[in-house]
Amino acid sequence: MNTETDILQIKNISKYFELPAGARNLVLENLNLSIEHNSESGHIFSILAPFGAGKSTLLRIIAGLEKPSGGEVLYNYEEYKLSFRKIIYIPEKPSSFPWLNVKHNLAFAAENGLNNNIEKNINNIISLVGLTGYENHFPDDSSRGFRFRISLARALVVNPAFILIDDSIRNLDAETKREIYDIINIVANTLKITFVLATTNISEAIILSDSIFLMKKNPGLIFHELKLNKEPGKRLNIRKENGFSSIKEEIELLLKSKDLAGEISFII
Amino acid sequence: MISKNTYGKKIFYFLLSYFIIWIILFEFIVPSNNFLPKPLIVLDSFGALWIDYHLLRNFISSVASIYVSIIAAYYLLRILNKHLINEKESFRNFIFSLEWFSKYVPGIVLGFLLIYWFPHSEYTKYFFILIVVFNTLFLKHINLASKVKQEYIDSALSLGVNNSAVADKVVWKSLQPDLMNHIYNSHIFFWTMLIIFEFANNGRGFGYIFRNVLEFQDLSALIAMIFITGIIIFLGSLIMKFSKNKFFYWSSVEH
Repeated sequence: MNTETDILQIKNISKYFELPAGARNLVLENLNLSIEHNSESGHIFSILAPFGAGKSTLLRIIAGLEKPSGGEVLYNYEEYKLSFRKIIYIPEKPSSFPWLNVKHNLAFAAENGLNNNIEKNINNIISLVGLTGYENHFPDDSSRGFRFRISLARALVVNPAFILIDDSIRNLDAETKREIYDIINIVANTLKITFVLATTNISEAIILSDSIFLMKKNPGLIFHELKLNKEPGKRLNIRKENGFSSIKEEIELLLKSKDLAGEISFII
Repeated sequence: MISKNTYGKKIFYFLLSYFIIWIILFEFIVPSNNFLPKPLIVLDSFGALWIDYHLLRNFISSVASIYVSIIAAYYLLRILNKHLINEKESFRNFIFSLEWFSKYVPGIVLGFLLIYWFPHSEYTKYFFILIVVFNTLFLKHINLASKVKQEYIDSALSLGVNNSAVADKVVWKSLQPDLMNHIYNSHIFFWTMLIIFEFANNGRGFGYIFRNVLEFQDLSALIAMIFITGIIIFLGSLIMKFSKNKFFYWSSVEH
């Protein structure tokens, strides 16, 4: 069986915003990152950074939703375009469409609407994210966990290589968070999708990730990559092992060196 | 603390207070006066309105012109939606200059101009109300389009949906509930403009009846027409509210 590898390269990305007084707010500066997606195994990467470090801006640039002020995003060595449908961005706020039911939210992502094959695929995805029985339900603001599942399922319909999650799990209750962690883990392992998760929570990053990128702010810059060397499918078990504390301490030391220790959350 | 009155309570208190006071005062205490007619005479006037003032014909004219125009304006905006969102800045500035213009020139003045050009025309009336409804919807659209939740737009774009489809399937959908609310809230304004136009045009419609009853100094018919107009606008509003709640129940715009 041939193994396909997709390479996502972020090269010298800078981003500034013009302020009303004419000054510039530099959010990202010469940021470099390279993430590989292998069709035989899914991976989860986390970008761990404090609030205001530019995580969302970085993910939006990677997804092709925002133009960088400098640098480029390459997908398999060519400039990434939205029409590739290979990098899907899930925003921080609930993004499933409230005027469509679960099934139609997923069908929205299908290029040519619903047909038998797509419907079969959609039903499989619905089952994978735990939405069986809710196909005809409409999302509303009352359940963020439900809405996140729909957003994730909708992303899966286009069969992407990368899914970027912009700290969308942060505002969920602890129990729902654990359910969502399980789903992300299962999806990464079964569908071989690579996740890039922006988070402000150390525990979340350690529990979920194969690799953690530490990012500082003012300006946003990735200053360290920590590989966790977990066995595929074993990501969630680390909390029960001794490794958790030592990784957490290592991250804390690294954050302290950049004066960021007080700005990162630990509690799930 | 003042509690918020419900819709039903307001109707109940209106009927209980003003309506009953009117009946008691003008039916029994001061039946002969030049201020308000006896309720029984007003009741009799409905027959006169039906026969002498051609109520049915004028009712159809007013109701058709207002609701056909609302529907037409809504679909016209739907067609123009993607152009308003995706067109170049210069095109939008050209269109948006209407907002400035409409702030200082009362719409009815343009109605008078239309009456001058095409006196007594029914088509002009449809055209005028269409412009009135479209203008208010259009301004609302301008105001709301920039407030559509960014996460919906980002998600759709990220899924590879093009700008035109995003305007159609995400932005328009997001705006629909607020546009429907706006139509509901402006319903009375549309009717006011229509009645003034019909009054000045002297063609057909409720405004034409109001003009005639004033010319004939028919106070009881005038009061009866006020009731009829109120009831029709009330029923129209109820249908709109029901449609909005039933078909456009979501909220997708940052307020």
